[in-house]
Amino acid sequence: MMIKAGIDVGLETIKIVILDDDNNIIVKTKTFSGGGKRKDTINQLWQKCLDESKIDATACHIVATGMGKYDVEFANRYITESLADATAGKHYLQGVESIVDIGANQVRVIPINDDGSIGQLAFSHKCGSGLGLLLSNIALRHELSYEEMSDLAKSAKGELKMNEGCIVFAELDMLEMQNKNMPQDEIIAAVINGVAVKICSVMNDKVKPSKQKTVLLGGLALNEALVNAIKLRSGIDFVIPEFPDYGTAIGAALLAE
Amino acid sequence: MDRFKKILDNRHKYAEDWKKRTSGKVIGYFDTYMPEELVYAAGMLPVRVLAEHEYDDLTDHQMYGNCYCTRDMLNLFLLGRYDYVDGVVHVETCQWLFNAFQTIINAKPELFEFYFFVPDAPDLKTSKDVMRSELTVFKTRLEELTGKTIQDEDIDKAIEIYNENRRLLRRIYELRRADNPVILGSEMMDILLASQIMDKAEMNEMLKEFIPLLEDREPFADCIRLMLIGSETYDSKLEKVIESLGANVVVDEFDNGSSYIWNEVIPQKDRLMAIGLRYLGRPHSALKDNAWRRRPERIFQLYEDFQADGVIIAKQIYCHPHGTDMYAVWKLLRERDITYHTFERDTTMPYSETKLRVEGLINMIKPGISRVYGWSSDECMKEGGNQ
Amino acid sequence: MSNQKWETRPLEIWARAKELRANWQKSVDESASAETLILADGNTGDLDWSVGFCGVNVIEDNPLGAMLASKSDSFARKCRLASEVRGWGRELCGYVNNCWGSQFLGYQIDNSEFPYRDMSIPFPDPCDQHTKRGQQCMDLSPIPRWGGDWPMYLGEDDPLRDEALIDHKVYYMVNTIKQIEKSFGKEFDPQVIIDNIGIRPQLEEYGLRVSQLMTNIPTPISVKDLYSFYTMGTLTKVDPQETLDFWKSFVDELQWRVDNNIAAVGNERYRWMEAHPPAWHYLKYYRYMEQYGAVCVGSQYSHLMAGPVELKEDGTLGHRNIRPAPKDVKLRTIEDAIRFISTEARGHRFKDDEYFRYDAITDFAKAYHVDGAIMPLNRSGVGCTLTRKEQALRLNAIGVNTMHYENSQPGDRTDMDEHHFFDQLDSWMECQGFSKLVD
Repeated sequence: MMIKAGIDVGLETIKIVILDDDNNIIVKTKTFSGGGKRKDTINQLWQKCLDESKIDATACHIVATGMGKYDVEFANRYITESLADATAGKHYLQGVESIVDIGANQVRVIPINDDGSIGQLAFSHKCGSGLGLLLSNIALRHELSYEEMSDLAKSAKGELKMNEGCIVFAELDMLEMQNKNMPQDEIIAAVINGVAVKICSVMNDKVKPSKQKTVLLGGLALNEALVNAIKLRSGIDFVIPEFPDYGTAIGAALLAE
Repeated sequence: MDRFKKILDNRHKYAEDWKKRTSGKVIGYFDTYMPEELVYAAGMLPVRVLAEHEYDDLTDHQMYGNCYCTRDMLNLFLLGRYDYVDGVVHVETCQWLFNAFQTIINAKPELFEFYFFVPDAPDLKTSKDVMRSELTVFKTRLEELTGKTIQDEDIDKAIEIYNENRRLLRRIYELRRADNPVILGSEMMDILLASQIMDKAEMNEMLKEFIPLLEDREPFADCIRLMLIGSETYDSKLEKVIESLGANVVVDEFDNGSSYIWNEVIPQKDRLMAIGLRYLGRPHSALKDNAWRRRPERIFQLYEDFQADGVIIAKQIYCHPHGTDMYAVWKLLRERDITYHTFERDTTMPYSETKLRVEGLINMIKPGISRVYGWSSDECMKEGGNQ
Repeated sequence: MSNQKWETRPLEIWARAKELRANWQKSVDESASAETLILADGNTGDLDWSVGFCGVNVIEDNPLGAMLASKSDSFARKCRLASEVRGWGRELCGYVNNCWGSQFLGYQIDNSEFPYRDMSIPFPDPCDQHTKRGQQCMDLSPIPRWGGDWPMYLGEDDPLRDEALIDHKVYYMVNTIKQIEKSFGKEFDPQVIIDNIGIRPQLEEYGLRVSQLMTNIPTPISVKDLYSFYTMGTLTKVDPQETLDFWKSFVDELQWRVDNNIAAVGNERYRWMEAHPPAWHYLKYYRYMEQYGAVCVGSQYSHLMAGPVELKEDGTLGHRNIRPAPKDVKLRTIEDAIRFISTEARGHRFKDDEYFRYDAITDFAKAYHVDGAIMPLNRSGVGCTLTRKEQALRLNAIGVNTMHYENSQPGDRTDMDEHHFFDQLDSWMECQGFSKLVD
């Protein structure tokens, strides 16, 4: 039996997925990327996977992806995140027409052509990078978990607005609201709505994702309030897999041969 | 005062109502070098496309690196806010504005469009001939659009209405020179912006009623008098922040502020030449102040005339014409020992951060002044986290 | 080289180009003396009339600024900082802030004294940064600056409109020449300009031939190489006859390479285009793409497509169809010369890209058999980024895959994220089904 492993080394987190022959998930795990010690973190996490699953490392074909993919020194193959996302999207939805990946650092939109090939990619621009990190910072500042943040935003009226053109200004606006003792739920909702607008901006940049056949991947897809805001604005009925944060890693694993 | 503000805040409805009332066409324009008189003489309403921020997830499709004003303009057209506009006209000025014009006509090809070349070197001997030639072509195009010849009398009437409007607005400006003005900077800006979207004849009547009332107003108490310069502005939010701190903007040198109304068309038999000369002779914007550096001296002159105590330079991020002018302006202000503060504006304005800057400037002018809430502070504080 | 399909070899014309360039540099250095006037900018539009003045050295800020960014990032940053602290906006073009920052510092990249300018003639209008150019040196000391116009209109051909705009252009140029004569006591020799106009049609013909030859598969040279030659005779001033000889040899060599299937990239399998100036400080992306067997065939900018060259209806490249100059006119004065080359004011080489010649970008892609396009998005320097997004959409519509990368400006590498850029290139190529042929 060949074991297929996908390792997605993102800016914020490292995700490892191991699949069996039938592409069922045997192991999935993630941890923070570890800053300057990312290579060590990858090695430790991989070893932990092997120990827990009792899998023989030599039986594994490992595909690494993500911004820090070359830190996976033991990988058999390196692929880009877009290819991994496209592969995952096809795996999750037959006839998928587009994949949107909303991660800590980057937003990617990957259209799939009729013949299954990848179409015109769109990425977030610099001023819209780090949306996930922005949300993390804001959660931290308000001492909230991601889930609490999402729940708070859902209960808000959503009347406040923040700058959605620049992440630095967005944070400044958020501080301004906090400074004025505005209700916490409204502040969180403003931030989430602003982030949703920025994500929609990437979706509108090149080829608009299909309304019905779009798969949503990435860690931010776990934020229900954010996903609702994106859906509301774009009108897209996303297909969201069970573990969207592992989507890119699963795509990489599927490409292991 | 509220009438102007109300019209400005409901400008799209104003233009739609005007259309219904007159069955005339509405022409959107992007820069104040557009010879409005000719559009008005053709029986149409020239409406300045004013940037107004709404959540924007559309313009990345066509734009990158633009100032947020021009992004907002395209966004507003894509959102359908300007659906009542029958055409758009742009004149040779800033390239970002040109890009707004270009992307809008690409997105809305059904619109009438015209590009008018206003010389970047406005003071060359032949510049007036270029203006006249361009006005002739423009006149023909407008006549084709309306199916009606623009008569000399139409132009004369338009010139008179526009001149009267400029005179009336200048009268209000002159009131600001008083030691204790009767009008706030934010009010002046609202009136000026309203004038860029209103039927000038109607506005003139309103101004004639308003000015006597204004003159009878109780003057505002002593305050720090500030001058506001920089990139074009589309609202009076910054003025309100300033007022909330007990200061008042007594004069501006904005392209769509004082420069918009400062000179009149001097009538002559060659009507198009007369209009052309007005635009070549107006106080020039940062981009058109090209061959000579006249802006800094004009800024100083206004500063002196209106007895300002300090200057705020508010530049839009990515506004390159003002990015090229700041050196000369800073140099002059420093040489003449004028207190100033420069900051970059964006599409939204965080109040606390902006207030901190203005407070800093006020303290530079009058050390030791603590925060004094001014006339519009309550309104300002109510308006939420950012604008 | 793996997967090599065609022979490749260095260009023989390289040596001649280097020699001419060195001679030009030497002449500039030698002519620098107390009597020599230094003209800032001096990129005087479509007629390089500044050469009609003897004893006037032209130092243009664009190539100088690009060179600074390319040679020393730390010096260029120092220059830009010197500009910014004095008030010049950080969104201004890197060329400008590099060049004039050096002026504020007072020294050049080699620590020699900055050659302060005696006068300035900006080339207005293709970009607003051009229009406002030269104010940097005028603000520093009261030297004369003759700002002018690039009169133009968009829309339908209108001879009446042309007349006023061309008269304006003529007046501006002739007046500026008179002012220089008056201010500096220099004599202007129109014959130099008239001689240059005489060789102009031949030069344009050679330029067109180069552009035509690069449509060949495989392309005989890449645009990276073309950029080394294409300023010969223009920015790099060379004797008119030498210029012609050089360009003839260049065309002959390219023709030979085409006839013998000599390629710029031996494993060419992917042809890509770009738009407007590349990141001059970062030309290694051309070589990086060659690892994929991908060659850059140029842009409208590099092939003067928005200038004297245009694509014909049959898909071939030809001279731009403009109103011809009157035949058998004897040129005697500078005014004759300007009128001879300025026959219409319609259109503009930058501004009309998305207006007047809406399809020029897609025509280019078709003519050069392009598979993809890499288009810069520059944060500063308005003229270098305007219309890039719309152009990409237009290319997408005809099936050309495009990639954007973010940069500050072709002469400013502040925003360039090398890792991210290469990552993007890999992603873009991989998603089109290509992997590297060589590492």
